Amino acid sequence: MAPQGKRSRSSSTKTKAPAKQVRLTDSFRQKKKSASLQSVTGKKSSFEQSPPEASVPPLSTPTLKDEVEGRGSEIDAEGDIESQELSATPDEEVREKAVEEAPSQELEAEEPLDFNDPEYRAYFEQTQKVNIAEPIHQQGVSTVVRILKNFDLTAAYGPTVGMTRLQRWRRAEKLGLQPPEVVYKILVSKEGKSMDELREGYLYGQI
Amino acid sequence: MASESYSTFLATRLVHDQETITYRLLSRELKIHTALAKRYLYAFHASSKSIYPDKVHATYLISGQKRPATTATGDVLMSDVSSPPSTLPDTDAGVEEEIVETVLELVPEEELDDAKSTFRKIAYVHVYSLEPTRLPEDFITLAECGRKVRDIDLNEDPHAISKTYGVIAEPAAKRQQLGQVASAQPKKPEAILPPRSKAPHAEPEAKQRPPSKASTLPSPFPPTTAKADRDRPSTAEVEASTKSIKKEKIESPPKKKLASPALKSGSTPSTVIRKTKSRSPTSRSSSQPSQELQSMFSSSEDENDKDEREDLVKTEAEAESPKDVIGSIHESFISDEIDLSIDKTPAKPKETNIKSEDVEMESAPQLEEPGEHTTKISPTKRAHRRGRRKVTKPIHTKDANGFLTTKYEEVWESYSEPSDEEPSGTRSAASIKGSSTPAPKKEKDVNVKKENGSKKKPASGGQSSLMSFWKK
Amino acid sequence: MNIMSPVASSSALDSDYLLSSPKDDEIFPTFERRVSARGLISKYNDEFVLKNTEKAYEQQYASLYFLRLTVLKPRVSKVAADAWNGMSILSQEVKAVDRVLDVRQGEFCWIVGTIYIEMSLKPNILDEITKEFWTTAPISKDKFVDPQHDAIMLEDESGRVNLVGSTIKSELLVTGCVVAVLGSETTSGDFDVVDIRYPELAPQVPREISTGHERKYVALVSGLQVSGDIHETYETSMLFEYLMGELGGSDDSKRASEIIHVIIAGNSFANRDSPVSRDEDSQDNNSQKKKKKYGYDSKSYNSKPTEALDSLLADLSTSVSVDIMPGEQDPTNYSYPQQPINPALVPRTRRFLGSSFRSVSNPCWWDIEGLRILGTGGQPVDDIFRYIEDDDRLQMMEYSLRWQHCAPTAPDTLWTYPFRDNDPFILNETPHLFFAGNQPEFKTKIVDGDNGQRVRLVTLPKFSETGQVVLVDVATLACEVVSFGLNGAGR
Repeated sequence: MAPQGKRSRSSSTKTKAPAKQVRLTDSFRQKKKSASLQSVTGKKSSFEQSPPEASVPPLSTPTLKDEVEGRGSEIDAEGDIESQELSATPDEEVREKAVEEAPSQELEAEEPLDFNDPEYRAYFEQTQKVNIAEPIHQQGVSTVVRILKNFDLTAAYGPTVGMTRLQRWRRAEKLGLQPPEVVYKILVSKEGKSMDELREGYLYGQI
Repeated sequence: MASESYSTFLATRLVHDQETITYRLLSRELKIHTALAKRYLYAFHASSKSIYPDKVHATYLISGQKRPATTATGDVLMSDVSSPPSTLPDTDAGVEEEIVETVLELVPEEELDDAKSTFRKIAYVHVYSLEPTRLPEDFITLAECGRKVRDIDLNEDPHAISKTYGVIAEPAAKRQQLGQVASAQPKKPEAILPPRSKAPHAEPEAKQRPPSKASTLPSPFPPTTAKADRDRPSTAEVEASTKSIKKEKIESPPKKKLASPALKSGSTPSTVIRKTKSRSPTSRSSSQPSQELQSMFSSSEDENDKDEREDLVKTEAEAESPKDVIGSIHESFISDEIDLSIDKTPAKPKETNIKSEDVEMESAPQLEEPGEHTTKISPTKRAHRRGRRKVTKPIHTKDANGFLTTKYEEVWESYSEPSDEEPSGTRSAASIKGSSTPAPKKEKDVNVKKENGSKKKPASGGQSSLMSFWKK
Repeated sequence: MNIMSPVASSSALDSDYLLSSPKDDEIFPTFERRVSARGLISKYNDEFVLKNTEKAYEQQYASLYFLRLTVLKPRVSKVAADAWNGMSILSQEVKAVDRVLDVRQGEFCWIVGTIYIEMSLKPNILDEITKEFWTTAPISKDKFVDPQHDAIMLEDESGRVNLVGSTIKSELLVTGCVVAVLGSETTSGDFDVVDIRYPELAPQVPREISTGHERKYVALVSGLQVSGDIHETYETSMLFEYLMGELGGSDDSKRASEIIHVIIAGNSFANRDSPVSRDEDSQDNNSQKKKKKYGYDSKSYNSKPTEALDSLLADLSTSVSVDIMPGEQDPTNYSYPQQPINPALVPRTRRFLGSSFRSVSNPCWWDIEGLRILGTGGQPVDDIFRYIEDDDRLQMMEYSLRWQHCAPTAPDTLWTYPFRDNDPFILNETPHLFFAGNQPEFKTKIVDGDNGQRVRLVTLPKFSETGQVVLVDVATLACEVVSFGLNGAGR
């Protein structure tokens, strides 16, 4: 547990650096969004609420910082989700519920991600069965991140550039490709929405 | 119409005025069915042969089907229309459709018989137009008649057009009142224009103004007072300026377009105002500027010279809250952008002014000015549009932490549209304050942005050069 | 609702009845149009009209191809399976192969993918660079096709394979269409094609053919090219007069009253002024820049076309409901799908917005009295034209239907928006009437599908050149043409 926790923490520290660079644009986007999404006031109020929530997961301080910095981009993601609402198919209840919830509610209702959930490990092992060899350079990476990267690399769901993973997931869902539920659960969690590393594709920032 | 009057009419038109007349124009002018107009043209032409030989030339319209022979005009697509059958096995192979082509051709009377011979089957022939001399080859003079017809049609109810002239009526057609759609340019805001007075035509009006008002701008060039007015559009000052503006507005050439149309007569603006006020109950936006405008506007009313207006003014003063008027104009402007199909003002007077149409078109580009949405109070329609306008401007400032942030604030900005060469909107001589704190007060002058603003406004309004600002 | 009159019924009217003196008590008939349903099919049109708040250009075009393949692959697989399953070539049973790269030499199999045609004459971004270094730019041609050197490939998410064989050469293919090909791999790694299948016509919504006596027409016209110039061709005015029921005799008026809807399909605004040169170093551009005054540059903006068109349309809107669709030269965005022309450009006509005037996107779907119409301004057809050697536009349109895609060359050579979640050009249903505007001439034919679909294809000629407007009977799909001419010099 502890080693894994450490790994996660280190991974999240890594995210701090890139997050800082985008800070400018984040605040700019944040303001822009706030100008245009005046009606969704829930967002603003929930800002105050999220810091206390941040103390819950095993990673306290790093997560908090990520929250703060990721907030700007989070709004963007929220905006995307709003526009996505029209396109997602109400196939399964989980998905339907996720789509129809108001953004503010979603923000509050989302669960913190348990990076150590054994379910993820089991799922990941299963996906790796088709591989011949172990993935390289992945020793320090958490299972969750690995799962998401695997999701990115699955060609069946289409290109990954230029959209968040959740957008891609929803698109795949709409096309009937049945993307994995596990990935969805990760992506709609709090960290899944706030952390760049989880939310965006693996090429984010590079392309 | 009495059968004699049309011949007099046509005689005047053709022989005396030497103008072309089409059956459509005749029908509009005499308010008759187009078919009857065609008959009239024919009858006149026939009778004129004896009275004014060679003074009246007719152009005919032949409607029918042409011969498949090779004529220069008509490629008759009688039988080679369909392409080779598709490769799908199910289609009929080799079946060629017969497409009936109806041709309607304009022919001068000299060519009538030749043209008739190119037709396999003639459905109708009628006189299209009469003119003093044969029309040029491309019939361009007819375009002018067409324009006149359309201008006349513009001001009539679609169903009336149908009944009177025999035009096919479209049951769904409904022309919205100029007010709603055009309320995109509520004219009220012109009221707040202080020294628009820079406009040349304002000069005489300014002189006409009674010197009774305290803070009246006596001369057309009171830059300081004007600017002062602008900087602090307190009710009093603005009132004064409004009055002056109102005067100008009323007396200026009738190109204004208040929330209602034609301001040809001096009374109309007031009429307009009264009527707009009457529809106020639906006012939804009562922003601060609108209130100011209202008070300015209503106060300006009181000062009107002409008796007519005075009476109306009093009525208005007692009328319902002025705020509503502007509010509703705002609202109709905004909602106009959103949903043009809703008829908002049942009480709107019918617009009649064609010129207002022109101005409407002028203002159209204004509407679409990019980047500035929200409440825009475009000025009254005048030959030269000027005014102050509230726009939302992004203001980039440096944060305490050194971050560049953008705030959107609403500022008053002046601009002018130049049919006259005045960029009167620029108070560049005036203070150019640095824009630092994003104070959400609308007194905040545009200053630096003003320069840009004023440059942009002329750009949208069609001003030819910034130099004209200094010229005048 | 004809207002019948003492004047004898139209059939008995002499052709010269208007060439006679007026009688005092005569009443002339005034016809009226019927109230009809003229709606847009919003489920398709909503995908064409992009909301400003949702436009994002961060995504790449790969998504568009992915979407296309994902949606069309099952459809074409079904057609291919129906055709080829159980078939054996050279006593070998053919089988489906999932990925294009999984074909094996010597095995007969069929694969599904997107066609990509490698053409050296296609516009290339590198041409711009060439222009900088050399004095002359490469010559642009009408067509990209070069049969000797073009390579046809099939591509899917795994990779590309080269298609060879005589069968493939004779097929009409463009980049972007999804097909299934049957064949085997050659020694050189190419795929030798024996047979090919398309998704074929999509299902069609059945149409009730009314047998009423009243006929209803939809009038289609394109390429008005209104310029507002003094030398404007007068046929445009004549057209509008005809549609309003004023031109011609009573039969003409009656026919005009049977037109329940007018669709103006593209290029209504004339492009009189030459566009500002794209080349930044050119003399013209420099001098223009210097002369640029504040205010609109009258050299590059001329408001006459909009004013003239506005005047015409405002008059027409009193009489018939009109839809205006943008074309290549119209003041809206250039990329496909084109957004509706902003009604603010036509302020007088705008007052009929919501009642008898509508501005629609290009392409657009209509449902007029049960007749489902798909119309384009002609750009996709023009683009497909560049890929093939011959000139049969109707055939190109037919193939569009068979590929179930109305703009297959997007985004390759037809500029488009980088759609991320859906490809709106995929045809999920076959319309009853499919027209393309701004084509060289008027041509039409009926295409029948395998499942009883029946489509009328129409290419609309440019009105400014031919003076023709096409009337399509809503009930029977029959076509008629009305043309306007000026016979000024006895031509």
